[in-house]
Amino acid sequence: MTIEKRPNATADKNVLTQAPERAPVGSPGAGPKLPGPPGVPGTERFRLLAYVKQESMVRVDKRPDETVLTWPHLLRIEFLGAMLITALLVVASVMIPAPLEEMANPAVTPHVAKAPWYFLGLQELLSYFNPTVAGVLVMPVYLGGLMLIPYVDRSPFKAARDRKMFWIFFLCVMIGGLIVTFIGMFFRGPGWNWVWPWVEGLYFTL
Amino acid sequence: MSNGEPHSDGNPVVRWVKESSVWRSLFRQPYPTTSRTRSLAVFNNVFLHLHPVRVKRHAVRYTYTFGLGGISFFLFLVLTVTGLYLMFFYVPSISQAYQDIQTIEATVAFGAFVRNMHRWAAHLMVLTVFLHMIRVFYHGAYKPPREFNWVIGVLLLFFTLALSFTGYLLPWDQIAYWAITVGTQMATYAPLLSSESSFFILGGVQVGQGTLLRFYVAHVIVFPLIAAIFMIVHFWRIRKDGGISGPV
Repeated sequence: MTIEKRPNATADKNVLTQAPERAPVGSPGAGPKLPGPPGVPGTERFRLLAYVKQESMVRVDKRPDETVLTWPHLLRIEFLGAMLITALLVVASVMIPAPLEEMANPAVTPHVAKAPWYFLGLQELLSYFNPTVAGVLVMPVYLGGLMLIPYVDRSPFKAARDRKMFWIFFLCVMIGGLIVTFIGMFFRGPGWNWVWPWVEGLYFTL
Repeated sequence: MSNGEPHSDGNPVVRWVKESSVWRSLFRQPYPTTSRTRSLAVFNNVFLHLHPVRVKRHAVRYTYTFGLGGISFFLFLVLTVTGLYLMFFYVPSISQAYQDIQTIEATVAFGAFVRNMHRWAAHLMVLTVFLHMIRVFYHGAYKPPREFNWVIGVLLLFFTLALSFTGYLLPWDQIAYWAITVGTQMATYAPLLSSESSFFILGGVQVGQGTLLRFYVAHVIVFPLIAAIFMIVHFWRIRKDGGISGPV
């Protein structure tokens, strides 16, 4: 996919063109080719406006085959994704009614009161530990820990095999979270006691 | 039509419409078919301009991102639209809220459908935001220069959870009441601050009218607004940090 030739200024004045110009910049590391003194034969005469390094956000030295046009390649994917999710939601909304129980009544305590599903891991931890530890520390430590990841993992490697320790730690936290969430969702019944969902039934609403 | 698209419309009415100044003020160029007009289509459009004109080839592979961030944003838009519709039929009062939900379910046109979609989209969004975070971790995409955008992402995860949690109370049924009672009790265990933090969240000593109004305002305006602002920063930073991260 090559960039088309810049049209003549007279041909189409009302349309801006952003075709990236082949800036006279040397290959990375080699440094810019500076223009020779004016009037010396054999030297190019141009004005050097800026020397943009390879790692800059403006990618001057991009090869044409590294990229594809947003229209249509990316937009087609986005459109299909949006249609797919819409179809999924329409089917789910037609087939599965959202739960609605009796009107809220502070006087009637249900057999088991469960938080929304994404907090059930936290609620499960709450049954193990001192509430101050579980209720107050887990969320800030979890979110704060996530935020700190890029400042702790300073290695330049991206592949999983090059940062095993970090991966194992992250996986342990995620899988641990998944396990306690699943226990809270399906294996806790009246009085937060252990139940087998295939024996005593589900005590869980989305 | 100076941009060179040949006229395929034999119909004179179609041609008259397409050559009118009104049509041409709306559509500044013909349907993009060349590299140049496709580039123009993206950067001349305020919405498409979120994207660069060209993206890295690996970025459009389905299995690189699974589109999880985009799906999360799309779900946010779906939730905004369905939520706006539900707002017309809902009053955040403990004497009326539950009846309003029943009315939405029973008599409002497409009420049950829209409420179902709002709920399932909300649960799905929590899931896709989580999966998006795991995908970004997998690719090490939080590495420089994207550290700050990862932090913004974690904040967006927090606001996604906060939006879902505040919405959970609004039907004012037994599920909602006791889930929020249990959920907010976790915050009240904070040492020293227990009564203050409890009162701040609940707007009272227990889940009641103060809580419902507080959660409603947070759910329909405060958190969506903050989340939208962080999303703007999140998307903008993707562009500024050179598009999505490279392959591992």
